[in-house]
Amino acid sequence: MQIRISDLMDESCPEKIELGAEDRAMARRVNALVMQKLNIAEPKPRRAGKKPLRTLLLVAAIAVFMGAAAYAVSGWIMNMKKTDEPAVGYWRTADAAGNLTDEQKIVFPDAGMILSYEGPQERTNRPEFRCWYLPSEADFGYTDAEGWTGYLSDSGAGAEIPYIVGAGNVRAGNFRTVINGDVTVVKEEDWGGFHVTFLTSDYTHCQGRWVYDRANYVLLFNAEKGWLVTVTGTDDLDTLEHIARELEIRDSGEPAFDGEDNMVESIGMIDPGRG
Amino acid sequence: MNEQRLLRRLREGDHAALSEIIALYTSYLYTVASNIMAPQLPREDIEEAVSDAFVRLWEHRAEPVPGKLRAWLAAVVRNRAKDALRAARIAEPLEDDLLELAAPVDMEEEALRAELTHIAREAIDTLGEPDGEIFRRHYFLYQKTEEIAAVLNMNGATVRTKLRRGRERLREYFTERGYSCADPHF
Repeated sequence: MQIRISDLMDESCPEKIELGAEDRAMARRVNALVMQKLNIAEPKPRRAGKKPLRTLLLVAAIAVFMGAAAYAVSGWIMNMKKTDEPAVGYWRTADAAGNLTDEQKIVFPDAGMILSYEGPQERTNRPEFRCWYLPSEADFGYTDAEGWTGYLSDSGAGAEIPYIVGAGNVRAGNFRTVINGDVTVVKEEDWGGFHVTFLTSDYTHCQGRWVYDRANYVLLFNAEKGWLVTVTGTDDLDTLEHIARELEIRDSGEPAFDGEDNMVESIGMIDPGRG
Repeated sequence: MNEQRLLRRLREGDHAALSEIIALYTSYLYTVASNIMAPQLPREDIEEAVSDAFVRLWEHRAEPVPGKLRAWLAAVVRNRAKDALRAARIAEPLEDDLLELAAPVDMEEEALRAELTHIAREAIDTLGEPDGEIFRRHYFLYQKTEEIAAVLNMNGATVRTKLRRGRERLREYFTERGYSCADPHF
């Protein structure tokens, strides 16, 4: 029989090769097509800036759900370690018996800070948030009718990725997060249940190709829930702080990890990016 | 973006996670599909193929594993793009793409294809670099030899030589595993 070599290449995707210039308009068209084919209503990304609430709202909301917390956990610790060495780690999955099923080495040559976590292995619900202030219209991420979401961004264009707001659960053990570039801790504060760290990172001496020279970070870590809410972007730190101060954060009621989770080790990064 | 978290949310049925994945990978997938379909088919058809890949992701969202999502999507979009070419009765773009193979034993087509794909991957993994990358760029991403040469700062003749050696390695690998194998281009 005659067979095409290209037809035998399904398992041979080259890694670490970036293709295609960013095209947000095309991504939106494709998104609309996909939602249409799946018969999923495509809610408009909302700018959630209608009610001028202040930090007190955040503090009050956190106080309410903290008081109602049902998890008997002793809490999580987030360790932040600066580094000038590449961060090397693995994506490892294992079966129920603990046998390794997949392993992939990951290297972040531009790592500037490594976040690692200690705490319980048990699951908590994932966090969600709504923004009462955004400096520009969000272009990705969908909110429900009341504005709640787990991700919202203005991914900008060129060297500007104005802001990305994301919320998730940390995992203790072999699960680490990298921030690349030359990272500086600007200040640290406590906001009613969240330890908040302000960071800035300079990418001008990095080996990799970063679209921006500098990115800023506001990390809101909730030690009791094991939540990490990140406000990152190329907008200045004051603007990102404004976004962070007017976040309303709550328990989504949805579990953070599903039953199919078989990851036993991972390393990832939270630098703003478009993929 | 943490792919592990995205896939978890996707498995939980989170539409927003799908949109985030679309935002991340549309440009990459469009380029792969475009290498196969353009210029014979228009942009709309290429975007259609890309959207089909994301629809398949949603319908089979338990399949991709963290760290391999882009490769999973790329494999899907390649097949969609080739289907579109065949539907339009347009020849596939790559030259030197055919192997003449005879399996040592009768096998069902799907099992045979899976085994051939696995053997091909093993053979390519032995090529070393940059030969392996060149082979994958050409036969997976459908990049033209001159495009590969420009990206890797080589001349086109060198790239073509390395591709020929890759095909020879592939043929040797199949032969060593009991397949009768000929390359119509030798």
